[in-house]
Amino acid sequence: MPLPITVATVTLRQALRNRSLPAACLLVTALLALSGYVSGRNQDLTNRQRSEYSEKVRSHWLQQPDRHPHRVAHYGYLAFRPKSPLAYFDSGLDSFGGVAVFLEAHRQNTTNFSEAGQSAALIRFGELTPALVLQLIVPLLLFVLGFPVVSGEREGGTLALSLAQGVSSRTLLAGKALGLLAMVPALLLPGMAILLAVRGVPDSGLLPRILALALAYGLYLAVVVWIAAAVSAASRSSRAALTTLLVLWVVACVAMPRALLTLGAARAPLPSKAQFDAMVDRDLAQEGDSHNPNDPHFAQLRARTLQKYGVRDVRDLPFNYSAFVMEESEKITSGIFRRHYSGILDTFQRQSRPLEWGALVNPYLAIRALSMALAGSDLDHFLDFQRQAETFRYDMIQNLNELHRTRIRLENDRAQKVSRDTWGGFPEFVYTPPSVAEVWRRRWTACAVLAAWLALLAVCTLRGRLL
Amino acid sequence: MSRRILLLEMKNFLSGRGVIAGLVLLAAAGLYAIAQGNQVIEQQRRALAAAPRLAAEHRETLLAMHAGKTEEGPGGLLYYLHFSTVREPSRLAPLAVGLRDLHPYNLRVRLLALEGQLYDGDIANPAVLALGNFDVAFLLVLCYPLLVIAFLHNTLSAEQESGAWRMLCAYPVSPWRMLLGKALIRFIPILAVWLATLLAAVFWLDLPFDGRLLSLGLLGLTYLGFWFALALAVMTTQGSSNFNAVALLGCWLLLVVLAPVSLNLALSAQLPVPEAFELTILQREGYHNKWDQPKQATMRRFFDRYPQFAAYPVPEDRFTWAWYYAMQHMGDEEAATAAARWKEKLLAREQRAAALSSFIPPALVQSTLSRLCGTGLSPHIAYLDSVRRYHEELRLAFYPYLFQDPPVPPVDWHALPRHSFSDEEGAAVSAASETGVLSGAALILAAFAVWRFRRRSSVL
Repeated sequence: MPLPITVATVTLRQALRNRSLPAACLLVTALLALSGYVSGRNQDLTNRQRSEYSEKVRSHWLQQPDRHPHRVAHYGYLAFRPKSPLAYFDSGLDSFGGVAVFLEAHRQNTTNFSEAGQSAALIRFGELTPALVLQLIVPLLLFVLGFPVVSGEREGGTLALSLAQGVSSRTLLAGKALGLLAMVPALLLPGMAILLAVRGVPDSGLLPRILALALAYGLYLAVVVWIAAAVSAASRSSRAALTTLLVLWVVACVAMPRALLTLGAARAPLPSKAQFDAMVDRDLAQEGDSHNPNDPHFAQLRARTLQKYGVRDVRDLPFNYSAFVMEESEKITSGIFRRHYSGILDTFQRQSRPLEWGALVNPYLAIRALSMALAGSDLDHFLDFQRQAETFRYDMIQNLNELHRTRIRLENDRAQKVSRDTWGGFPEFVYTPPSVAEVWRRRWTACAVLAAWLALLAVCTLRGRLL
Repeated sequence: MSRRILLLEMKNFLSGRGVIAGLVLLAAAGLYAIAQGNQVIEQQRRALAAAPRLAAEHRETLLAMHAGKTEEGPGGLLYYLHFSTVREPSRLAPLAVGLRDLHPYNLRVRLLALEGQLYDGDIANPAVLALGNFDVAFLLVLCYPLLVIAFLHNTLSAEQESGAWRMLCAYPVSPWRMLLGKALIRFIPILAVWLATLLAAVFWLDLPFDGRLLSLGLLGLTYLGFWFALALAVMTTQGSSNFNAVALLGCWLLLVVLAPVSLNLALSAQLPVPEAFELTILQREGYHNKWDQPKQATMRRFFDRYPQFAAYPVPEDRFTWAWYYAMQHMGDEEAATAAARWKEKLLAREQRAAALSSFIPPALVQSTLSRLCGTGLSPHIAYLDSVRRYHEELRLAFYPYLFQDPPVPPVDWHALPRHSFSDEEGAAVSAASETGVLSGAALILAAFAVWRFRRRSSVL
């Protein structure tokens, strides 16, 4: 047997003998099973509700009587954001994003009713999910299991003995790290098996995301283990090793995330809704007022249109001119809104920047970002929903404006209606999450950071820099 | 224990590796926390301060646009006009931002159906909301206990491991008093940093020295006392330093992370709020269906609600703004039951969370801090109620202009009702019962520690 493997086996056997490994395994299994079960049940319930209400909205839409298209444009549609199928595993910021958005003519409404906005102050402690167990608790346990692997031998005098017998320090450290690494599957597999049994085999479409998650967490926990072994090797006593590791954990997992993000948020402040709306209104006022017959923009549009069709009065046009103006102004208002909202999205990005930089040095931040992206519960997924809802809104309104333009005569406009069978021709709102390739394209750096960490630690070990 | 030993002990402790660094770091984090909480609240205050100006500009623009259409009454203009409402933060809010960043604080409402406007959020980055604030509450609840653990876990075990404990026991002082003295020496600097942080906040944020601040300070002291007692209880089990560190950190993990998050998950699973969607749908259907119904059907129900306008019936054969705004309001009425249920559900969530939090000190402190600073869930609900009342006030102010024919004199757009609401009034003024519960828990743990220590020492 190669020497590192022998060392690893001995390390593992020791952990089994003093019962610390079985105890830790029991704890992790219980936590994974509990969090997976409760969070999963909660997610099923939530999604059932949301799809129930989506169906209600759809059936109300189809049951509409004969109506004027612009009436329907104000009746609008309600879109609900479903929880991603893996959000129960990592809820990310899912609970902090709105869920329901009312889609209507002329306006882009806010996405309302976030779970957090309807929760008691407890929500500030976070949410119990398997990801929380894997990202925070398992590393802490690995630190506790790993702190004495080398420093303990040093204190007991066995380290000098092994080195004197010709075991090289790098072999020893590599073996210790491998031994600790072997504890990871022992810690996780029972809990994961229960999770699988409770949640059932996931949909095959989710497989790429699940495999990527497995890879990411594998890398993360390997980095954690190696850090534990390295700190243990570099410390004079077990006590010092434990202290260092615990301080590292607290800084990396508790203090640093909030400190960095609040720093980012302070440096890139967002406008209030009132300020934002005022900015949009100012631009809209400059673009022109479709209701004002003397407004230069719309006067120009009328002159152009009349000339194009060779008529002298809008009543002689082959279509409903007021609907045509509505179409035009929807285009303008949506464009202005989109331009201003992209400024908000830029600010979101600038707010997250310190956290992204932090992920380069803090593996916890890297796995956090990667995990919620793969679970479909990060900011990108939320914004993606908003974008799809806005596209749906715009298309729906412009389709209704087109109906208005072609099927309603200008004269006595308000009194006319289109038939009820028209409504079935409109699509249902269905949110399609981005593909895993898309997620990977945005987030591969986080995975690369974890791999780089592991490579760095491995190289340092082999070069004998750590012991 | 003689003063000389105490002094020596203090010197010895403070010269330990990382002790001064830890205290300085905690104090610095305290300053950052004050700045961060203040930044969030100050930004809201600035937006609220700008709100009247923005509202006036918005109103003047609309008035200019509608200047030529005074003969048709205010109905058309009211369709576009937003009325600004404000939720002023309490003075203590920067210390515990609580849920204030999750909720709107400057809702603007039109005279249309309110249930379609009341739940709009402000502009916020969910990623920032999800991680939460680095405010004084966060520091106290999560970080201070870690320093207590770091400083106290080896009070006894380090002496035993180095063999000094036997020598100390030779002094004519009871071992328990000796241990307590040593533990207090490690604990008091942390208390001092907490008080210094509060003092810094008082000067920095210009806070009033009142009962609320005192309660907040006392709550913090008691909470730290709880962790002190817990550390005593663990150290008297006479485990090794490493064992104590791991055991205390395990307690921290259980109390600060696992228990509150499980409780939160259980509450949201137990009390789901489908009423949110229900009321949205009811309001939308309730209003829009009226367009397809005879006007008199809507008006009959509206006049039942507001008989003072029944003398002014609306014509069936043409559009009137009176009918339009009546339809809008009847949409609200149809959603009223669901909206009331939604509100009850949320308050139930908060009440149940508060009741169960009594068993989880960190959750208890977090929710009590939110209550003292007016940043929990119920101030948000109270604000929404105040917006509801304001909306009714506005409607009643405008209905006469919409219903009466010939019209009453023109609207004085500069003398309309104004909305005001502050978290200051709703915030709790004292936290006596919560502080009592915490000190009870601390005393039980301390008593356990004494009993345990005495029994062990008599064996030794």
